Amino acid sequence: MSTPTSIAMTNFLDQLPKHIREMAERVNVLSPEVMLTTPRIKFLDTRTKELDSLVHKCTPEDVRVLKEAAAKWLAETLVSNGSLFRPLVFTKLSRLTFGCAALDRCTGGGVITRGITEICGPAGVGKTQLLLQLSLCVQLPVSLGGLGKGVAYICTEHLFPSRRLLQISKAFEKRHHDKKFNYLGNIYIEQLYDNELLLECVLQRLPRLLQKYDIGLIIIDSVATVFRLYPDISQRARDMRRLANALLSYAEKYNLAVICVNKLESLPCLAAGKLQDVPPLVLHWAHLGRTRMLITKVPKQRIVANELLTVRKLEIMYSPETPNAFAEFLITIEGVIDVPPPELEMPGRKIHRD
Amino acid sequence: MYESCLDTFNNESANQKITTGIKELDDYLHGGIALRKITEFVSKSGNGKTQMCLQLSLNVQRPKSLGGLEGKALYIDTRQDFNPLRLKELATHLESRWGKVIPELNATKMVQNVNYVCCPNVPKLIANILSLDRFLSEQPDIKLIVIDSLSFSLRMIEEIAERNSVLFELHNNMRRLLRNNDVALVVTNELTHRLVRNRFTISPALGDFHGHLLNERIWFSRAQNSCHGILVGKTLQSHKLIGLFKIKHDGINNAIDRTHGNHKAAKRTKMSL
Repeated sequence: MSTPTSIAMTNFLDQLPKHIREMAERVNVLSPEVMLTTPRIKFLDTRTKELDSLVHKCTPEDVRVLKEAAAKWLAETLVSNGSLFRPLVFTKLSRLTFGCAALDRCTGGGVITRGITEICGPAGVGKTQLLLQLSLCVQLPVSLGGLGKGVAYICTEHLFPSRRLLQISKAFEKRHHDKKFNYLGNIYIEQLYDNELLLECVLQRLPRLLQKYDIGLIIIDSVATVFRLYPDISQRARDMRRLANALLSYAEKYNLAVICVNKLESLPCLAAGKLQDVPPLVLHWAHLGRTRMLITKVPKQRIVANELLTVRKLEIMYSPETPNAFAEFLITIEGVIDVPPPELEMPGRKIHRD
Repeated sequence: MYESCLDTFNNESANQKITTGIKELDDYLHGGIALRKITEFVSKSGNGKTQMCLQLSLNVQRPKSLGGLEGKALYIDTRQDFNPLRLKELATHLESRWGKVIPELNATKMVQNVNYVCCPNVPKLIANILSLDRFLSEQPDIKLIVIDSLSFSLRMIEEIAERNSVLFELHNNMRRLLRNNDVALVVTNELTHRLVRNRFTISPALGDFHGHLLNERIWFSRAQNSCHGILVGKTLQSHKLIGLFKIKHDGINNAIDRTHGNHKAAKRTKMSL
């Protein structure tokens, strides 16, 4: 425990009345946080105590006073200026650009640095491509929509596509040729294929990385595979929550964006509120995410640089900020780009100009 | 001493409510969200709980001359879903409607009347709920307290027994608060799967007993045409659909066009939780 916390704690304990402090010390509950979450019965439990230590009887009223003191202590350290409820301040919510104007428009500026953003979609639709582009965009300066920081990329399914990343980064360098960036050097990659390893990585190794380097984006590609292999449902729910809690605490502490990739097939249809015999993954994880985006293929094609490409669509399934808009994009050698207007299609076709 | 039922009835009718903006829901609740009661909104993600909480934080400020409470709101945020820009957007739309009655109630003032507390973990949440009594006495104008979302915070406690004991102590404190103060308490909850007779069924999180301790439980669901359905009732077996709404840029609007009488068609709309 760091020194300032222990000093603060001693200050808290000192200002309590004597018999209440003894009551807390008897059950070894010393910090205000633990005092608030300990059930009342623990302070009053006399079954395990020696008879001679029960000289001072503690009453439920004492427990209430203790908890209120702890609450006052904690609530007071919440804000710096005397009043507890400060009037609303417009906090700056940073966003990370996608590098593609249409996607930025529909998501309100890009990926937000708060909460967990989930990107779902069927296999092969282009989620990883989008993530690679985001890994480069995050390194752009804030003036260009990035965060000026690196990225931690945890890959659980396939081999990390480093060659594809190199391809996109070359296009990136061409676009921003006036800035000298070591794009590939700020991307920290981890490949693992196991639940326990993932938890260990996120809970223990990731905080060390975050302390050492300036990271603006955490990507987990993908969450679904790892969690599908669990036999025990309650353990899976618990681990999912631990993972999410850790990610959320990093997002808050370091003001970074967190993106988790999920597979679409795990959303079963829920008819009449009953789910037949399928151990569910969906609802528990769904509540932990703040924003969810769905990427699908659209039955439209475009020709770009003599290649026939299928158009993709990114749709916002839920987000506290933006309405459920959607945007279309293409994936080319250069990465993720806007869909060019239809005039650029093959000549000889009837083009309706408005 | 004892008061007769007639007195209680008169008191309750005089007791103003916070309108929700949805006619069917207001009708069901006899005017809106009631003071001195705990109302819970439960739904899957993305169905409008946070939007409704933002809307209520503004609706509580409705001028008395328009039948409102003219009070302030306190928003306790555990998920950091609160977006001040969205609140400002909603306030701007309300300003154009109320500005004629009270000109100094502009959008900025409305946003300032919503006090905000961020509680990223459980001890902070408990600390703030225990301190509510003290601060309501300092700011008696507060008529609405929103906890968004209660389950997100409590489910961080992994041990079920510990979670339940914390939950019930919180209920104790909230009830005491409501007994002593004229405020409404709105809580949001999530859905989870529970094993009921060897089958997984969807039910609200935090358990059955918590459900019994609430006064009102309102479910939101997803319907067609980007509408959301409103269901009322404490359990999945007993709930019924009472209306639909849409979330638009100016807030929560009724989805049914009453003038054309297609609300019957809306009732047949396919619904999914």
